[in-house]
Amino acid sequence: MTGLEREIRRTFADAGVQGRLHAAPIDGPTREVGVDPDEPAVMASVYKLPLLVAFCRRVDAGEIDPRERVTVHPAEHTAGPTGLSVLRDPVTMSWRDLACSMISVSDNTAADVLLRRVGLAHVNETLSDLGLERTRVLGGTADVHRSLVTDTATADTAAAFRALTSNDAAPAVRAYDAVLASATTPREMTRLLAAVWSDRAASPERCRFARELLGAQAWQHRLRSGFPPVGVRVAGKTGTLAAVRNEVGVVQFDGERPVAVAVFTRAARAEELLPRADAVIGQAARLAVTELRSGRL
Amino acid sequence: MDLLRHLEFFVTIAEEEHFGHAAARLGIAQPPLSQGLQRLERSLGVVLVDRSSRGARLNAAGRDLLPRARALLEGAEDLRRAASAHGSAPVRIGAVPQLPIRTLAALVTACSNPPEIVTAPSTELLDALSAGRLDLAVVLHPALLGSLQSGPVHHLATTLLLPAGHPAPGPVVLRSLRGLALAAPPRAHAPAAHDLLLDTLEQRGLVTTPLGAPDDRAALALVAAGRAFALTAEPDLDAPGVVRREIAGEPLPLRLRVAWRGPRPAVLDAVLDVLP
Repeated sequence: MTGLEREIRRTFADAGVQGRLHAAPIDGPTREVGVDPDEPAVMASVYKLPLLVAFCRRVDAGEIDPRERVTVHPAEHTAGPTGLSVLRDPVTMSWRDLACSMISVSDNTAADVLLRRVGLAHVNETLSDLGLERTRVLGGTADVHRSLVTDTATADTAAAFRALTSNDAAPAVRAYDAVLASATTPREMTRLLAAVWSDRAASPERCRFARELLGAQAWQHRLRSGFPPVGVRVAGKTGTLAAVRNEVGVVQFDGERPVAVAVFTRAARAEELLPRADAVIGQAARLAVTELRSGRL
Repeated sequence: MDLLRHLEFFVTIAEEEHFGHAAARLGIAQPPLSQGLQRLERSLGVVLVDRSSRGARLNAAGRDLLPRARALLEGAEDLRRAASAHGSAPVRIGAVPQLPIRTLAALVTACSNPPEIVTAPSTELLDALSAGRLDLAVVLHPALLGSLQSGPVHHLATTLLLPAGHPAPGPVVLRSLRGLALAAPPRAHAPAAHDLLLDTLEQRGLVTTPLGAPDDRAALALVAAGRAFALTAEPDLDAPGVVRREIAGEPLPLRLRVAWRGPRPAVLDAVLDVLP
């Protein structure tokens, strides 16, 4: 174990989380930083990144018109804190704007509507096509919510989350299990990001679209919080499910090569809000990226 | 990787054809079971079980390897039986210092053979469990358990220990303790549980500085000196200059959890029965 790896592990432990991390420059696999980079981790909303890539490929194939308009009714909503999930009335928007809402504010409803259009099979085909054999998407957010209700023996999603976010019990749920939930490894997510950044994941035009959406990430309290306020751009996709907090993204200092980083955590505490657990994602990413920028590896 | 333990997972899944049923039979939660199977598959370099929404079925490789897995488990059982004829080692149990003395004593007497007892902070106990130096431990919840197994969350009632000069005769509103430090074990002993306690106190209007008191002696000394208050689940703890008061409003329970590594220890049920 390198000194850096030990330091990152200490940082995770001090924040009360179990963490996995992989960081590598986009341009080559020879330099990297890893903390259990090949251990499986549940994705939570990080699954929206493979879904975005699969959407881009279906657009490239001419099978989906990104400008086609679709109307989403409140009855189809998946529970969630942002985007269409919190609206009261039917909304009509294009497929690509649904994708935009899905990535920039992690809109659960937009993601489930888009997943139905893209097809789960196409998402997994995309993953295996890109050689990501340990990444598997089993369903959308609504499917996860259904499994939570079953596993916590509750009546609805809200009650399931109340059970999950209490420190007085510790229900075992499939959604926390990398074998039974949509899962990946940190290394496979940095590889997927590298494919998006080097125009290999889809056509150059669609890859640029995907990079723009990831760059519009509204949540700044995870990866972004670890880097200086100016002179660096961070594009990413978060994933949150009670004690699970993730973000995968690309950090680019002005004039330097972009670095892909994937951080997956699970907190000991159950609360929905744990600022320290969010911030450690940025701290760990900063330790890794600083090492890769130093040229010492 | 604990090969025998993971083979036991594989055989049980093969017999039950269902992750949930197999986990119930092994007395563990489903996530560690399926992670264990995945680890086994990875180390053998072959997938053994086809997962579907309806259950878990062996594939051709799984069917081929199942008899060999059973043979290894039976061989291990033989080895244990043979070893036990040469004398038996006591079970090694760890507990945090916050576990009340009477509960610890009840836990010891509940074991049919006298166990070895270690008292240490949560983080040390969890490290010792992971390294195989303990068979079972009672730790503070929440804590990072990694790949350890664990039982339910237990709640112990706590009361306040205050400097004798404290005016209130009845239950004490926590925010009225402003100005007093909290005598508590250092954060490093159990970071998540420590942070949870401080956050809970703040939520109830008491922003306080923790003052390191690794054990009851240190805590009592700080309280008697008028510098701090303490929380305890120990019903009889007392000293001159110290008064005991109930907490007004919602209780502040001491949360404990039993953790172990690998197979379910034989004394587990007895230990779980002793805890509230």
